[in-house]
Amino acid sequence: MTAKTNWTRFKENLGTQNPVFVQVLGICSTLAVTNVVRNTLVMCLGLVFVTALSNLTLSLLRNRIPSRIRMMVEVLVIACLVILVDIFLKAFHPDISRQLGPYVGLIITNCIIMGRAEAVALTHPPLASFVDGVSSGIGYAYVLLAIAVVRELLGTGEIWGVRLLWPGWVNWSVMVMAPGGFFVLAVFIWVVKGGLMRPPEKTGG
Amino acid sequence: MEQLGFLTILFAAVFTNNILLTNYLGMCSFLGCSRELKTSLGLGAAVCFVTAATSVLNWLVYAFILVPLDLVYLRFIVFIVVIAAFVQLVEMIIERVSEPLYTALGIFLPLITVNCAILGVSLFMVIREYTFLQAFGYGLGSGVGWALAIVAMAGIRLRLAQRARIPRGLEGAGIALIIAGTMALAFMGFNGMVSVN
Amino acid sequence: MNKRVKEIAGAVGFMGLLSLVSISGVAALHLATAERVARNADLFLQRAVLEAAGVAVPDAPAAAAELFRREVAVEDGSIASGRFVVRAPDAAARRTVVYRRRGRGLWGVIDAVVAVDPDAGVFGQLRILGHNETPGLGARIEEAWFQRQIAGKTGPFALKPEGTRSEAPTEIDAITGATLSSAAVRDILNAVVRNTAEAKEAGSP
Repeated sequence: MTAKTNWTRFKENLGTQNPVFVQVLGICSTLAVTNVVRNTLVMCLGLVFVTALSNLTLSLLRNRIPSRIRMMVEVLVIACLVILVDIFLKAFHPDISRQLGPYVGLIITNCIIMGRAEAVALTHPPLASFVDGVSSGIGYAYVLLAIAVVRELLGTGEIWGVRLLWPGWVNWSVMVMAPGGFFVLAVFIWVVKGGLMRPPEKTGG
Repeated sequence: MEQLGFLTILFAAVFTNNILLTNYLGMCSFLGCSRELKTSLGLGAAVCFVTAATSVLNWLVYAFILVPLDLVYLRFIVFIVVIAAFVQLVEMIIERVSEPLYTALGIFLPLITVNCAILGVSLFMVIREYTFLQAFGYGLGSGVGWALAIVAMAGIRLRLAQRARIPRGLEGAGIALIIAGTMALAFMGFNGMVSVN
Repeated sequence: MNKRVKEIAGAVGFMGLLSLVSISGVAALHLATAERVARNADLFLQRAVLEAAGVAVPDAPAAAAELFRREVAVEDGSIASGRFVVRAPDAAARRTVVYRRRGRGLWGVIDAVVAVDPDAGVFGQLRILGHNETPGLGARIEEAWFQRQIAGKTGPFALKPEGTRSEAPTEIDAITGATLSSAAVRDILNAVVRNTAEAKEAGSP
C-alpha cells in the first residue's frame, strides 16, 4: 500500500476516486432530496461534517477497537454524529429540518461514510483520515449539487427561489419526481465516464 | 379520519410508494448486486425478511421504550442497533441450523445491515405515526417491493447484456440507473390504484 | 476458554464505555437545545395561525410571539382539534377563528390550520403545518397559491382540475397528480365548514 500524501488523496477523492461516479456509493440517502438545491446543500454539508468527524474519531480510536465489534463501533459513532446534525437543524434551522424529514437520519446508512471508515480511518493516522473524510464528502457534494441544479431548474424553473427560466416554460414534472433523479445521475455518470475520464483505449475496441 | 388498512398499505408499499423506486432507498446493493438473477433473488428474500421483522421490532421498541422514557431523539442509534443485532442473530441462527442456506445467504447479511431501506422503513413508520398492524404491513410491503425491484432489474440487465450494445460510459452503474428510472416511471402508473375512501 | 471470555468481556466493556460516552454527549446536547426546539415548534404554529388569519407577522421571533400573545386567544390548544380566536387589529368586533385540523393524506397525517370568519362563514387562508406526501406531487399542497385560494370562499368545497381558478365560492383547484392529497385537504376544509355552522347554531362567541 503506497503512502499517499494528503493532497493527492484530496484531489483523488474529488476526481478519479470520486465516491459517486466512480465508486457509485452513497447515493441512496441524498438522491431523494436533490429536487431542491437548498435541501441538497444542507444534506451535503451534514454529510461532509459526519464523514470527516467519524473518520477522525475512528482513526483516533483505531488501535483500541476490538476487531470483533468493529462494525458496531463504526455505526455507533456515525449515528451519534448524525443525531448531532439532526438536533442542530431542529434547533437552529427548523424549516429546513421539516423539509428534510427523515432523510437526515438516513445519512447514517450512507455507504460512503462506512466505506471510508473501513478503507481509511481504521488504518491511517488522524490527519490523513480527516482529510480523506472532508474530500470524499466534497467530492460527493458537488456531484449531488450539480444534479440538484438540473432537477430544480428544469422541474420548477427556479433555483433557491430565484426564477431563472422564461415565464412560458412548462415545468418538466418528471424532474421533481423519482425517475428524474435516476436519469439525471445516469446522464451525469455517462458524461463523466464516457467523455471526461476516458480510460486507456483497448486494442481492437 | 380514515385509517389505511393493512392490505392497502401492503399493496401501496410494494407498488405506488416503492421504497426503492420512489424513495430512492437501498440503492447501493441494488446497483452492485443486480447482475445475476440468483443473487438478486437471495438478496431480495433476505432484505424482505429483515425489513418485515425489524419494522415490527422497532415499532415495539419505539412504542414501549423510547416514547415512555422520552428518549425519542435517540431513535437513530436504537433503530440501527436493533437492526444490526437482529441481522447478527439471524446470521448466527442460520449458521447453526442450515449450512447450505448459510452458504447461499450468508454473504448478504452484513451487507443488509447498512441497507438504507431498512432503516428508512423504521424512520418513515415513526414519522407517519403508523399503528402496529400498519407498520408490519409497511415493512413487509417495502421488503417485497425492494425484492421485486431488484429481481426485475436483474432480469432486465441480463436481457440487455445479451442483446444491446451499451455505450462505454454507461456500462455498469449508468445503465442500471437508467433502467431504474424507467422502472420508476412504470411504477408511477400504479398511482391511481390505491383508493383511501 | 479463558482467553475467549476475556476477549468478549473486553469487547463488551469497550462498547459499553463508548456507548455511555456518546449517548451522554448526545443527551447533553439534546437537553441544552430542547427548550429552543420547543420554542421553534411553537413559533411555527403561531406564525401559521396569524398568517392564516391574514395578519402581517413580523420576522423577529420575539415580536411574532408577542403579537400572538396579544391578538390570539387559545380556546383549544390540542393538536387534533385546536381552536384559536384572533382579534382583528383594528379593534372592530370582527374576529377570525382559526381551526387546527388533521386529515389522512396518502402517506400520513396532514396537519393544517384554517381561518374562517365565524359569522359570515367566509374563509381566510389555509396553512399546512405538516405532511408526508410525495415530494413534487402531494407536497405541492404547500404551494402559496393552493393555500391562498380559499380566501373569500365559503364552501362546502368541491375539487376542480388544476388551473380552473374558478371564482365560485365552493370550488377550489386540486393538484394534478395528487388527487388523494388534494382530497384530504378538501375534507379538512369541509370539516371546518361543518364546525363553523355548528358553532354558529350553538350561538357560541
